[in-house]
Amino acid sequence: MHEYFVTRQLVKIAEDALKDVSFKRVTRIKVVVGELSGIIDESLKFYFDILTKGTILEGAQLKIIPKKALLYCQKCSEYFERTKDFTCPKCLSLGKLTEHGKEFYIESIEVDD
Amino acid sequence: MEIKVIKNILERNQNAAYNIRRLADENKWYIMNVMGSPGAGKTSFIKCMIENLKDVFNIAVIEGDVASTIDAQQIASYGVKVLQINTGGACHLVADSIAEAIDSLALTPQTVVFIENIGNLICPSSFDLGENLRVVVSSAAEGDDKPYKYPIMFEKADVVVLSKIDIMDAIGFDKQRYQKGLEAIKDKDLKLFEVSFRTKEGVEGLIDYFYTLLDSYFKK
Repeated sequence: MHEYFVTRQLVKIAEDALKDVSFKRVTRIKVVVGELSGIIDESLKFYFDILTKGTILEGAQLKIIPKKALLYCQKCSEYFERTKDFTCPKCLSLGKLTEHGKEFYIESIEVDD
Repeated sequence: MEIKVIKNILERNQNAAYNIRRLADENKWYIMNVMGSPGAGKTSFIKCMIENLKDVFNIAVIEGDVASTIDAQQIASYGVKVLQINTGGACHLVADSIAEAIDSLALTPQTVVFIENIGNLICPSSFDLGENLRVVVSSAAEGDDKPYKYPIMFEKADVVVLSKIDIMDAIGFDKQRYQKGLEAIKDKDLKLFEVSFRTKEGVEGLIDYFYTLLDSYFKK
């Protein structure tokens, strides 16, 4: 729901990263978005197209790399994908939330030089 | 050519939050970020704290709302410093606006600051406001599945206030299921309080907890 705000930040970070780089055109920006980050892909893309108009990023493709939420089962010492009630599909004990699924960062920018 | 960036998109907010934390530390402010759904009881929680702690501690309140000043007016009637932030549609408060609010409130040292965040279980959890403590007010009326559906909000909470417990039986709220959800999420010791601000059940324990917490903070 707060994609407008974060897209503005995203554009700013990308512009900063490209400040000292010579290139013809930005072709792609890769952004990693975890399932639990609260960010909706479509909404991010929507604002990206609007907010990059007239900037060096205009026309670039926003590539979103989704990450699943993983929980950790201490009994099985294994990660598992989020289940409805957070129980391990193998042993049915309660898993713990981990950092997997909370990602939200720019991974890379691709340019034509 | 591919340029590696690896940069957290929320970094700017985190920097602003860091500055607030530094200022708060210098001035001995204790900042609480109060979050929860619309109607969960965030304002009731803050009002309860003011009623019971205002004679002992300096209190100020920053009221976040999409629009309107209804909550701020209620708070102002207690004679504590209050500032309203209308986000005009935005679903969360950001550290930059808290920094501005703190500045215009002209807080004296040794003040407890309650920030009432926008009613929402998703967005506010991503934005650090430089607070000392995160309180999530979650009402029984919302259902026992909330920790499973909005894990990040609960994971980041230091204190969870389960409110409206007087209607639990009437709506078939499964407390065990709710607690199990919290258990999966929380690593550290969870402070869970079960209260009804209407019947005052459990409220005494909540007040005691915050009194002790604040008293020891300011005596340090």
